[in-house]
Amino acid sequence: MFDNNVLVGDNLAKPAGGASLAPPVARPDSLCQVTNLCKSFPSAGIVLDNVKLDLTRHQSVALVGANGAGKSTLLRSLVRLIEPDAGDIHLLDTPVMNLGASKLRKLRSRIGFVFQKHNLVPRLSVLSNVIHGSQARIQGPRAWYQGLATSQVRADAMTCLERVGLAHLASRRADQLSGGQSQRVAIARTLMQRPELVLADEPVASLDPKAGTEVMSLFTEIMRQEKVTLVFSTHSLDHALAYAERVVGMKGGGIVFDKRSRQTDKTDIQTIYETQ
Amino acid sequence: MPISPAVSRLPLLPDRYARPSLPSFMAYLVAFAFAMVSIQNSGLSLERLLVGLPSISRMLDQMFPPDLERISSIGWSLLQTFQMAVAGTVLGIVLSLPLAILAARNISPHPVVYVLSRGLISFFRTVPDLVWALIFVIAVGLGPAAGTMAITIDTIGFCGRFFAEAMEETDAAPAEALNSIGASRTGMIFSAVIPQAFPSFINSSLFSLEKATRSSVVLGLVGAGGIGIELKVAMDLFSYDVASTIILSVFMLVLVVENASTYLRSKII
Repeated sequence: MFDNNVLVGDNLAKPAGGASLAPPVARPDSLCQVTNLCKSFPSAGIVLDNVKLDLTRHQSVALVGANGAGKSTLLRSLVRLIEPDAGDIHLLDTPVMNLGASKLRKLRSRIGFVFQKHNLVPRLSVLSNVIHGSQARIQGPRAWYQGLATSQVRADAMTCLERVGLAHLASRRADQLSGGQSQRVAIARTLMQRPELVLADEPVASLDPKAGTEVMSLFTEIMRQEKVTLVFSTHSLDHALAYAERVVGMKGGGIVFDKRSRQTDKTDIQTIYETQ
Repeated sequence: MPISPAVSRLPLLPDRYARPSLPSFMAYLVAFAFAMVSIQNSGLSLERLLVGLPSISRMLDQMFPPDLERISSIGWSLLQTFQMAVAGTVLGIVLSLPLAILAARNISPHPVVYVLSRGLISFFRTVPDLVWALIFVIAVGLGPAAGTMAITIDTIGFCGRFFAEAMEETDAAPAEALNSIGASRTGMIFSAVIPQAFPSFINSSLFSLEKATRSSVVLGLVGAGGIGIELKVAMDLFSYDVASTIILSVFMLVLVVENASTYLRSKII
């Protein structure tokens, strides 16, 4: 049985022991260091329990676990979309926990977030939705609608759409797209942001298996080409093994294994899905 | 047809209507009694209506045919009335948008700002437009300016509430997506919240214009410009044929505005 408090990733030189309260020391290739992260909700109890995680640059990481294991809460806590109760997060050489609103916005502008439900603005065009990604860099009305955007921004957005194969749908309303197309637009929006790290919360959970596989292939390939670190949560072991170099298993708010994907086996998966 | 054994084994069906509790029953009874007493105290009676019928008949007789001699001046007054409605509505919509943003719970910058904005909108809405017209006639004198200001305030009360509620009902997910990438609050409101609430904005604005068109006629009765004052003079002088021309003109205007509004609503939304 794994200790919830211990990370055993083969790329992480972590001691197997109790939780350390000392601030994390950033490694040269370290992108994100999470130490003793805790979060509980009145309705759900403890959702994150002393989580430790270390992410390195240019890596693709899958978070796997049953419903309620804490995957989404962990991803959202990293950029404080959910405020953690305790712990420490260093992200892109920035201590996250004590950032003020303005600095937090600046940090978030460097991190993409892809949601399960795509979260596009339904009545706006595909192009406008992609241009929204530039709000990480551009303030004001020029990043609100494609009609107000500069030619350069419009061209950039079209390039992003081209990357996901949807340039021909630029004028279509977002609520007229299929699920797979919507998620591709969300990926294009993230590309428009030019992030250094992308967090994806079950990005293909709302798609059928075929569309899910297509979108995941495209998504991970683009992230690899762009040399962007990708952390995605998923219920699909196949996706985790196929598209991630590293698999982190979560159960009951803690990390129960952290391995290279080729070293992850059925026993690990049974561990996270067995009755708690 | 005999009931099959399968059907006879069904559990007892629930009552079609739930039996009210004693406090509910008493509340219904009091409400009904109050409505009855109100009708009685209003002085309505079939006898009085029957006695008044000849007067109505005489008035209708004098109303037709309508006097078209003053149709030109009535036309200009009607145009002025409609312009009051349009100007008041446009100004009201423009001013209500920022107030509605402050009064929408999900995007208001602070709870105190939310409460104050909601309070101001409620105040604008609960004071009748005729009272606003009386106040503005005192403030800026007789004429269309007072009527336009009254309609503006009334529109802020109407649109402010419905705009705020429309923004509160929008899906929070697109705004969360923009929040997650560091977009500004203004960016989130204009990129994610307002586009979702836009159909409701159009709907409320068109209803507001219809409402303002009807109001602008009545506001003239207290000197706030428009055709209302012409109608009052015609009625006071027993010139019922002129009055009928005015009433029919107003009817045409309201009909045109309502139909145009319905058409635009179907096209835009």
